Amino acid sequence: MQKPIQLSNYQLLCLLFMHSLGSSTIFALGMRAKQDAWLVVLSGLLLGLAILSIHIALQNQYPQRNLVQISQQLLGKVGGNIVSLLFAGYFFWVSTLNFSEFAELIALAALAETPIWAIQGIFILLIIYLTWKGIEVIGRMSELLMPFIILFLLLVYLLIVISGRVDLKELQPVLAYGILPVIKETYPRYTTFPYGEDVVFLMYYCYVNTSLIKRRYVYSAAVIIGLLLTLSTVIIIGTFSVPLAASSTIPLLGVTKMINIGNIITNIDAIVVIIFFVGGLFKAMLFFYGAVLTIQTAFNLKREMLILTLAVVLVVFNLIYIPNFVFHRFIGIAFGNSYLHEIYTIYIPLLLLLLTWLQQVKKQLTAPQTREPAKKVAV
Amino acid sequence: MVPLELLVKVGILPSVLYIGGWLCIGVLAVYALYRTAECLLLRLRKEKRRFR
Repeated sequence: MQKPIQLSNYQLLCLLFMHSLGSSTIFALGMRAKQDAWLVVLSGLLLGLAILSIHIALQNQYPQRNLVQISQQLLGKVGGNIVSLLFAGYFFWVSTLNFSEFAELIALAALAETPIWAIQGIFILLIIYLTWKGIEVIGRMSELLMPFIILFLLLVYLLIVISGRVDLKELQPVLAYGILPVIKETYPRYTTFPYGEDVVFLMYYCYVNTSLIKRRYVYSAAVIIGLLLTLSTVIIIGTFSVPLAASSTIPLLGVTKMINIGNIITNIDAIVVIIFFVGGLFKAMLFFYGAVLTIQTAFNLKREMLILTLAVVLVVFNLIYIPNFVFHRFIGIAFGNSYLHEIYTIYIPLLLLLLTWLQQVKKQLTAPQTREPAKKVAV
Repeated sequence: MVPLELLVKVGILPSVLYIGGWLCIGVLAVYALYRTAECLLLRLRKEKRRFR
């Protein structure tokens, strides 16, 4: 008999961390709020926790089901499949964006002479291999890599501080333009990214080996990411100042290149490239696998066949659709973060949760009433 | 709401996802309203029966 697929809560935490890490730490987030960008990141974390609580509340109502099965249960087969198809398209689109982004970034940062198709080829082969192996293997891989990634990031932050390049005065004055720019930048742009994107885990939560998702693991992953992001933003602004940080393509790489401790510890930007590669791989892969699982569950198709087909479509779509990094940033930030993510990460899950509650209320109201037992009267 | 020029610029898939997403929200919201009304009616009927 085949062993059921299972993930531990710690593996879930690692997966959530690696998924949210993606590109978030390498870019300067919330730069429209200028020196208050770190406040944008912190308030994004608070709202992000609220979004994650919606996802967990929905999942905990259906512990053994994934998003497709939840939709089918609530809306019937046809309605559920339509919602699932939309989610599959969303997961696939985000996967394409991440796939192209990281291939471009690696070409830009480390392999300038290598043709982009070669990097993309290696990337897609890795994605095919890992998704073929399944979520258990991906979970174990994240368990192995997460400590190294945290260590690398903290090392970079520490070395830049030791180099004496960080000037915290760049963060002052705090709230010079009032609270409004911070609020405007936080929602929806930096709430749905990176926390809301964890909606793809509605396809994976059902594999966790406890009956209910333990909130503390999910929140811990978000808090770790939030704190690392805040630290990253502070260090980038402190090193580069606001105008340079806002205009830099990969600020963390620029910051890393400035590390120089006694002319001995220099040129450690390879560490940042490793973080790019691992973060990008996990993000693109989890979204890709999310799309595969969504279509597989909805239409009862063979997983292996779907992985190969979607991988080919992903590469072709990527070559046709995303011509360069500038276009990628444009659709990713101006459209994805500002308009699209909120639909799939907040509104639809929230409505599904509301429908679940209403269904439960209806069930309670239509359940046959049991008469209260008559009280015994003492004679 | 997203400007129309932006929808044209971003391509077919994201535009379909955006429009489809809002349509889905609309349908789900109407369905949720219908369910709420249904629950309220059931509750009313139950209360009525109790008072009789």
